[in-house]
Amino acid sequence: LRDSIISEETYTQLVKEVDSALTEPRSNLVELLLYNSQQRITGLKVIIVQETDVENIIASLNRLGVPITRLSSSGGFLKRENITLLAGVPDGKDDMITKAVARAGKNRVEFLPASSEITDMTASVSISGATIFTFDVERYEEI
Amino acid sequence: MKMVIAIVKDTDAEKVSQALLAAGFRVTQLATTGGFLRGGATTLMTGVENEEVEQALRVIREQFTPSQENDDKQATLYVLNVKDFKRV
Repeated sequence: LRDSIISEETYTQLVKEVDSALTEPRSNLVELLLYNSQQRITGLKVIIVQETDVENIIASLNRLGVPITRLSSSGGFLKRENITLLAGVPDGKDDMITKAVARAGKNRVEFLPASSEITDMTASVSISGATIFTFDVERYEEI
Repeated sequence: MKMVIAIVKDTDAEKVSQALLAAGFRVTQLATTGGFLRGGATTLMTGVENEEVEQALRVIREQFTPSQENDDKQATLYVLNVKDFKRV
């Protein structure tokens, strides 16, 4: 909004969050955590990310109150170890999660080791930041 | 056909998957690191017929005793719709 640093949408969202936080004070952390976990989960995202990005992504999703489960996996062109995250999508937070993941994980170019002695050229391959599959969740339960 | 994904603590995984197997469900178990439950967690995937979803959830639920003193989350369950299922 100001000097195009954040968008209007984000700004109003932030203002709304601050307002609601002020009008309904939550006395302790436990209440706050409970408040977060009471969101209705309507979707499941399977997010496949690079190991290097995973901590950033988990941190930003935790801030959104998204329940996350982490699986070790491997795959892709380079058969590199990667991480599969199962993320519960709270109602209406679908786009927010996608944006958070996109911000935290970036496209990058990696170089493969040179395969021939004659040339010292290295092949490069671009690695996408994250792959996201979204499913509808019929039911979500916490025990 | 539905897929039930249950994320449970490592210590409960054996109990839950045995119970599901005993009830005639097939279970796939994935080692899960970290995640919301921080300690070791295990992901169990079970494919069930539409009308068996309730039964599967009940079997899973029965493995947990609600703890009054702490409100720790013991398990997370997702039920997903399966568009197509084949075993070849």
